[in-house]
Amino acid sequence: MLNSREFEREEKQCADLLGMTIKEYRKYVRDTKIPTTKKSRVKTKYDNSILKVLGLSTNDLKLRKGL
Amino acid sequence: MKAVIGDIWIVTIPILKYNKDGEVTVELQKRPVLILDDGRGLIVEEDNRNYHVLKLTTQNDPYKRKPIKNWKQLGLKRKSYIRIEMPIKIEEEQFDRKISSLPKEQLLEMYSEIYSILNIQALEKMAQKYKEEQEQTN
Repeated sequence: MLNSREFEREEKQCADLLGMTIKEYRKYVRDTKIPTTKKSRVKTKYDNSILKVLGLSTNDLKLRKGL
Repeated sequence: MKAVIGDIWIVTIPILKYNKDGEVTVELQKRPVLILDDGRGLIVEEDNRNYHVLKLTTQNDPYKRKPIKNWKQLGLKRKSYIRIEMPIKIEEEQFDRKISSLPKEQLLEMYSEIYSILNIQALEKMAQKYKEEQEQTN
């Protein structure tokens, strides 16, 4: 939870991170829309090649049965 | 395009803000985050809907921030740091657009930093104690 000053400080930070002015950033936030398309029920197929780079294999994943 | 482990994306996050009278409002924030888990079961049990991410910041606190090397080449607008804290849960609808992907050696460092702040040993002990108590009850 942020007080007003902390919130404005974070706003400035986020604007900086995105390369925007405060005015541009606030408009960007105001114009937020989320996708309304129906969520896919198809299970995602992941590219697990990254696991090897991290020193892991698919055996190290914590899978959920029945998902 | 779907966000995957190692990506840096802009996401929308709700933030609670309070004024001097103690009145609370919910505000939105859009900021870059690093994807640590894309629901495949890497650091949290497999979950098709949720991601776990770390926030990026421009503020350097030497205690719990890790600098992103070559930030300019990665397409970031400012010198940025990863906030080393408990990852936050983000849903797919909160994603806006992709900025970049963190190189593998830097990504591995971030996982190592997260491991260093979690008390895995205490969690293991509590899980073991719970298991023993359940066995005694049954």
